Formats: sequence, structure tokens, C-alpha cells
Amino acid sequence: MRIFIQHITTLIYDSPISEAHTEVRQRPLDTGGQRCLSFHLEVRPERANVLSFVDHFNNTVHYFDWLQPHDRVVITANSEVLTPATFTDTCTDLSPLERFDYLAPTAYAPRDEMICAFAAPHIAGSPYETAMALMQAIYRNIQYERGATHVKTTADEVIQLRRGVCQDFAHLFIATCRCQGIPARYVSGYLYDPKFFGTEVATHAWADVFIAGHGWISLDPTHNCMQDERYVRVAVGRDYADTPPTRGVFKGNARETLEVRVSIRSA
Amino acid sequence: MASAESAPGSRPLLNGSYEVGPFFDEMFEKDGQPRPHYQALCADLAQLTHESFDERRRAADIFFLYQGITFTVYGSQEGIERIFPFDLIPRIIQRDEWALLERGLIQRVRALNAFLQDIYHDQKIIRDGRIPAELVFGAKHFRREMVGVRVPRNVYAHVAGIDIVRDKDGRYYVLEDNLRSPSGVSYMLENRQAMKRTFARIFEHYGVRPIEHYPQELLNTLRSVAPHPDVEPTVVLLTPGIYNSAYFEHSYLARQMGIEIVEGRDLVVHDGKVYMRTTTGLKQVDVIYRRVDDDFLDPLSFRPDSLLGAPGLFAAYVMGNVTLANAVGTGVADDKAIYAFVPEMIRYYLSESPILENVPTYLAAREEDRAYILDHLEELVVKSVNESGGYGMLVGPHASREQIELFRSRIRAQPRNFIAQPVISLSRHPTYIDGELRGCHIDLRPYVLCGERITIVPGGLTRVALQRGSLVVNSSQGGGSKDTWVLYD
Repeated sequence: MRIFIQHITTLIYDSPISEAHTEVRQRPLDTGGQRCLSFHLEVRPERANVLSFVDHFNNTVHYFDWLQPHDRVVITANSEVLTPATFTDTCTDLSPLERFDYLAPTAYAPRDEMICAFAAPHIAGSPYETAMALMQAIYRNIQYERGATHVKTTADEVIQLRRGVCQDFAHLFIATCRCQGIPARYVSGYLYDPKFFGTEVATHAWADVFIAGHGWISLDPTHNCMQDERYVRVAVGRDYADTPPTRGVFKGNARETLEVRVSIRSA
Repeated sequence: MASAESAPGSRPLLNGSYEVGPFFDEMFEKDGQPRPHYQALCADLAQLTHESFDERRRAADIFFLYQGITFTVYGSQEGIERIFPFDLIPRIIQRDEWALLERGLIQRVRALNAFLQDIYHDQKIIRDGRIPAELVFGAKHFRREMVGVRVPRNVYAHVAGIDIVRDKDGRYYVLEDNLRSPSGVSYMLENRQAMKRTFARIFEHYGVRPIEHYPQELLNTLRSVAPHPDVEPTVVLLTPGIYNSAYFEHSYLARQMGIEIVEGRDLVVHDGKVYMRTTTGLKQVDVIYRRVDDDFLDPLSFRPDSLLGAPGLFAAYVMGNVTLANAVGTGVADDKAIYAFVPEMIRYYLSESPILENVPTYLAAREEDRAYILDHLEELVVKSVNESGGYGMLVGPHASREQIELFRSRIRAQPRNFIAQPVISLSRHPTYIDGELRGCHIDLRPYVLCGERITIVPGGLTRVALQRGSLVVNSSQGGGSKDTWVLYD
């Protein structure tokens, strides 16, 4: 499927800031059968010079600074992506670091008694079946509800709340898979669904699990399904902290307000 | 030991009361005779009385005071700044012994750099099962952000301080590798100045190899790893600031090298390049000799609350526009659990056998080692893997029951954080304390510089445990230092 995405981020400060440095992770990946046909990043103030590098998860990072005093930054990313019908990964083995990183607990996806107790009843005959069972269990037991959680909510808190958004579903899924010895990683991206419109639906998060003999399999516990042609992958990591769409620091005593607008359509 | 003829009414310095004790003494044989390379020094010292020695000592103290050579002790209520205690009796190393140490150090630093290059790229040593993945990737100072990042000449540890000790039989061992920002080299340089001033005649006739070129060698090393070899590089020293325990050293080295000393706020990153603010505007910086820890280098990439670094610095580094020395992530190789694998690294990367030995090391992370450690806490030295400066360690034979039990529970709770080693009966050296010569335990920290080539100025910093019987030589734990003489022949 050919998908067009426009992702507009507006950062507003209640008093002027200076020496701002910003990282953007919004360029769709060229992996798993997906192809990024074009990507344009436009930044206002428009004289900012956008540079890029690849991070250690192979995500593309765009980076710019703006040293002069300012109180508003607008980042507009336009992507055109060709998505595969199914996520097809040719990776047959993990590097030693991937094996370590995607099994280790993180701040968002800790390993504690609550997580392990949640996972325990769903252990099945094979890692693949276990992962599918965990996805289903999370889908059934956690209520999708906006506003119940926030950007810093961790997987153990999600179990207590029994509610959350896609980021929370993904973290809980990752945490439970890892405690069953299944390497899992966080995927941030977009979901194109003609039935729904709006930013909250368009930006999405799900997870990949690594199954020996299969390679990476991409599962979405929020919708209890596998990644299909409606999904656009943008960044992967151990958890959300490795994949934020924008991240920055600045000088100045100001409060930052973040506005995000995403529109997504198919050709 | 022979005592000297002396003027009436004054006491000779070498009066025969020095006890060699059950240790390896650097100056004296078991029978009290001076070792051959110390004979000339002993003869000179024999000419001295306590009075004349004290006079020189006071002159040296005044020299240190005027130079402002101090260090700060952490963990005490008020910030305490002390003069680094200096002992006037030099430690002497023979030519052949130094040649061996030098070869061993070069070999070790080559292997450590090869290890860093490997784990931040292909991770072959882990794939080949020579070192456990958890130990490397679980290390506090492993920086996954460095994976795939290329650094000039593949050098990570540009300045390494390798701590060397001698056991009862005089055999040399490597005790620790310090690969982040090893400090103390300014004391090495100042000790030499003090010696030259107070014992000019003795020094001149001894044939001691010079060390004064260290700052120039350091600068050469830093320039040789500049990102663009064709351009005359601008090198700066980045310090956390005047409250850091080693600030004296930072300003001293910057002055000696003739480069700017900067704090994070003096730097600004723009379009992926690093600049320092000067009175005439921004000036691009190519190499940063940074004495700031990884965590604090860049609030955008590491600790967001850090004010000691410069935002965007890591991006500039990843894009190859600036060199950081030492590289980000070198700390994984001086983790005390990783230390146990350095001999293996030497065999693996260089296909050589280690010239310098490691102290036998038990890893609490290994179940069988842990059982042994917990059973033998009274005999062992326990170290926490990420601390330096003698903090967070237990010396079993000198510890109270409470201290031992405290470490027992700590080890059980976090085995990855601890290693244990047998107590090394560090060699001793005559040291002038309270009007007499006493045998004090010493170690040696040579500074290995690695850029286009590896250089080591002969010797290093000899640290002395000044507290009676103490085996801890760190300055933060009440240690002092001596000048170290490596002889031409």
C-alpha cells in the first residue's frame, strides 16, 4: 500500500528560549519489506540546518539546533511509504547485543512479580504460541482508553490500571514476552485506518518478537493482529525512550507546549 | 644497614633502625643491604642528617604550597582541600625492569583498544564465547550509543593509567586499568620538579630519564586523533569546573600544553560542529581532552540534567566533527569484572601471551566464585566494579565483623557489582614519616598515551600508603606520592 503521512509538530514556549537542540525520529524505515519513497523535513525557523545520522538501532535521526532566542518551532515531516502486505524479515539471528537488549528489562518494561504473574497463565507450547497468547491476553484484559495513562506510564502500572493506549499495550506486551525469554522490541510508527481519522489514531506503537526459526514477527496487542499493509514503521528500540518522534533541550526558563497533528492517507 | 659518619649533635638519617619486614622492600635486600640500583642513593642519604633532610622537606612543602597542588576529598562534611603529601625519598626502577613494564603496558593498552573497537562494532569476542555478553552489555559504563560509531585511528583509550603493584616476591602485577579520565599525572610532574629543586646534586648524577615532556606527548597524541588530519587542529581541555577534585590538574595540564581550558558553558554546538566562545567570537574545536564523565557530556544524549557538558556534543561526535579523548564508552573496559578478561583479550586480539600478569580475580557474578568469596571474606579484598579511587572496597583482613557482614549482604544482593582478589602484600619503600624512615606500601601508575603511536614517559606516579600498615594508596584515602626514577642504565 502507498501511504502518505504529514506529521506536524509545534513547540511553543511561554517565554523565549535559546540554544535549542532537537532530535527528530520520523523518517519511515527501509526494513521488513517497507520502502520509504520520499521524506522531507521542514523546520521553522527556516534557517535551521537539518543534519542526520543513524543511531545504534538503525533509526534515522534528524538533528538541528537554533541558537538565537525564539518561542516557537514548527517541524513538518512529509513521508511517502510503500508498505508490504505482511512484515517480512530476513534476519535469522540476533547479534549478541540485540539478544541482550531485547531481553533485558527497561524502565518502561520492567521485570517484576506482577509482570511475571500476568504472563504465567499464557505460557504455551512454543515461544510463537506464547507470544500470540500474550498478545491476546493483553488485548482482552486491558481496556483501550485515552487519558488514563500518560507518556511515562510503565508496564506494571498498566496492569494495575487495566487501561491505556497503544504505547502502554506495547510496553506490557514487551515486558511479558521478555520475562518468558522471548526477545521483544518496541516499534513506533503510524497506522492507516480509513475508518478513523485523527492524530491519536494515526500515530501508533506496537512490538516485534523474535522467534528462533522465524525471525522477527510484528504484532499489535492494541488490535490483536499482526502488522499488515496499514502499518508504517518509523523507529525501533528497547522501549519508547529509544524512539521518541522529537526530543530536545534548550536554554531558558520556559514551559514547553507540544502540539502534534498527523494526517495520513493512501493513494 | 650502614650508618654514616655525622657531625656531632646531629642524628644520621640512615641509623640502622629501618625494618625491612616480611615484604618485598624496593630499596633493601632481606639482609638490610641496599639493592644495587639504590646503592648510590643510600650513600648520598647517609651523608644527610635529620636536620638537613627536614630542611629540604620544608623547602619541598613550600614549593607544593606555592604551586597550589591540592586535591579535594569527597564524602566529608565540608569540602576539604589538601596538599598532596609528597615523600622525598625517590622510588628507583632499573632499566631492564622498566623495559619489561613498558612492553607489557603497550601490549595491554593495544589489547584494551582492540577490545573497545570490537565490542562497539562486530562483538567477535562475545560471539566467540571468550567473554560473557551479560558482563559486557550489563556493565554500567557500556555505551550502546557508541555501537557503529567510528573513532579516528580506532583509538578509544587515549590516556590510560594502569595501576601496577609488586607482591611479596617482587613480581609485578596489573591491579587496575583506568581508562576513563585517570588523574595524578600532574603530581608525577610536580614531584619531579620538587626533587630537582631539593636534591639537585643527587638527581643530576643519577642518570634519571626525563618525564618533563609528558604534556607535549599528550598534546601530540591528541592532535594525532583530530577528525581532519590535514587541518591544524584546535585542542581544548574540558573540565567539570573548579569544584572537581582534579581541577588543579586540569588547569595545570592545559597551561603546560598551551591549550584552552573550558567548561561546558564555554562550548556551543552549531550545525554539528563544536565551537568555543572566545572574546573574538566562536572558534571551532577539533579535539576535546575531556575530564568530564560520559554521563555529563551532553544533556541531549545522556543525563538530561547535566550542566557540565554541551548539548549536541554527542551528535557532533557521531558525525565525526570532533574527537573526544578518551572516547565515549571506554569505561566498560576498566570495569573491574571485565579486568579479569584482559589476559584473554591479549591472547584473542594480539595472539600473544600476556607480559604482565593480572591479580587472580573472583567474579561474584559467577556462582562458584561467589560461593568462594562469601566463604573467604576475611582473607580477600572485595571491590565494587564501577567505583574508583579506593571507594567502595573491603580489605578483609583489616575489616570489622560489621563491615564484612555489610559486604556479604551487598554481594548477595548485587553479585554483578563485585569482584574479589587475594590480598596482595604490596611492596614497601622507605618513606620519611615523623622523623624516621618507615617501610610504606606503594604502587605505580604509569600513564600510557595512545594516538598515532603508543608512548609512555618513563615511570609514572608512585603512590604511597602513609597510614601505618595500610594497603590503600589512593590520595582520597590518605595516600601520598614519591618521585619515580627510571634509570638510563
